[in-house]
Amino acid sequence: MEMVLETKSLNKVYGRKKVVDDVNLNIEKGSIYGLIGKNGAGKTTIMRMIAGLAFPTGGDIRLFENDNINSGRKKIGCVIENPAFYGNMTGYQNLLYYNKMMGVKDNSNIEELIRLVGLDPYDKKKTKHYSLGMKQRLAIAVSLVGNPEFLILDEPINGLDPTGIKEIRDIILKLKNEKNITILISSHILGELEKIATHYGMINNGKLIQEFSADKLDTLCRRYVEIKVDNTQEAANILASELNIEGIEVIDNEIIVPQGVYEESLLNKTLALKNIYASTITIKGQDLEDYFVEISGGVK
Amino acid sequence: MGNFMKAELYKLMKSKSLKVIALLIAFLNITSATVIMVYDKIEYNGIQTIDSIVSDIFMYVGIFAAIVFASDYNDGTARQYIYRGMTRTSIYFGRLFSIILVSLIFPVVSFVCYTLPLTIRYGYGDIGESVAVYVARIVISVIAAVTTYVLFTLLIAILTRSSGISVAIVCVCTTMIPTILALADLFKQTNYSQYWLSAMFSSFMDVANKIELKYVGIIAALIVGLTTIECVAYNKQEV
Repeated sequence: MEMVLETKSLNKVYGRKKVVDDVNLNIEKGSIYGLIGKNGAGKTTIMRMIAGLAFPTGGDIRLFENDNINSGRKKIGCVIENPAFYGNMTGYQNLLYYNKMMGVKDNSNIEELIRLVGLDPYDKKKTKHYSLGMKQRLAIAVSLVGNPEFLILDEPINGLDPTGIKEIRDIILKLKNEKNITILISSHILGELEKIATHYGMINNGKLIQEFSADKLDTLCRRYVEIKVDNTQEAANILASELNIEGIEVIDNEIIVPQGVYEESLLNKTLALKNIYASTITIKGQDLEDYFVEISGGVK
Repeated sequence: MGNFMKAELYKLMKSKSLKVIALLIAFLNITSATVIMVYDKIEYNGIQTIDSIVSDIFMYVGIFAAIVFASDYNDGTARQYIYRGMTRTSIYFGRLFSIILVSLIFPVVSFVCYTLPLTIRYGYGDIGESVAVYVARIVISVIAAVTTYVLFTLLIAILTRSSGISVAIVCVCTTMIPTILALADLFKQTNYSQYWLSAMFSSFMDVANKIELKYVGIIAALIVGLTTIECVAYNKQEV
């Protein structure tokens, strides 16, 4: 698998405080990597070092399997900390500025990028008058100038309303699915991250405590499906034989199907075909937030 | 760096501070020229007022450079240059050259609004050397003055990373230092005022003066020294 980012023993010390401690991140091409951590855990510092804004105290950063980091940075786009624009220019003019900077001769991409993020390319409003949601969207558009292959998004949904959050999420998924852009994203809203991330890295006190794929999340979170039926034993036997599920447990009038890897609809359909009707089918266990709180030693 | 400079020039030409400062310089110079012409107080040729285009613009160039350079720290746009894989040295020189180029508008505005009408009204006089040499001397002096003023300001902007503080320091320096030097000269019988930047450039512009090599040396040393310090500081700075 082609790697977009690898960090080896990445360290950052401010004064006497080690804010990033021997971090080894590995991000595969085409993935959405969710970086999770408390405030001050070191997420933004890691992103800043990757983007070249801060200098590592120790360790290596490799972008696109290349040791020349400046050449790698030409293929990345970033939104780190607050969205930053020239306030006295419109969104279109801001993108025109970055087009000029990147040497993009054909400016037709500007309209396309502004539409992609759900803004109006003909809006004459200066960016200093934009709402936070509009700024976040424009920041993503700016980061896409020059067709980057790797996007670094630091808290891109901070301060957005639910509609704005969904729209940004859709944009991120669109970028991954349609343009195969690899994305490193941090967010405090873990429920949102869980909807898009394919891989996770958990940071606590500057240390990368765990790195895993979304497929492993169900196992790590000890998820299971709880089915309530009248004839539990018969239903359990049907699920075990028809779907080859191992480890089914029957407790009173409930069936516990481990790990939640089976679609609820499939379980329901399998039972219904045998004339067994479930009164409820529920996914139980920890979510990403519970799991993070547990392993980072915090109290929810 | 070429693309970056094109982008910077586009941004600077759109900046509100450029328009406001250019208008302010135009207003003040037109007012001064009008007052001189109304009261008919000038005692020399109009062209001899040309030294004012370097001496009076120090503060304006400084304010402009401080605002456009340091505001990128304030609003976070300074980060955008670095993401893109450009070296910090290229970014520094790209921004420096762009600010110098755009700042040259200020002496041009000052010339058009002050020296030109007074020269038309009071005549050209004897410049004592060929026109081509004189024009070259003026152009080089103006470029050197603007470059030095911009470098002086950028050092403050890089160190403070705040447009407000930079503007305040520039205003204090450009008003207080010449006053302090003049007072020292008055009371201590010294001649320190001649070494203040705007005084040295005024002397280059004055047709009655020969260009003094010691001033050229000081200016050259300042340009090289400030550029080196700023480039090193910018390279080491986390944004």
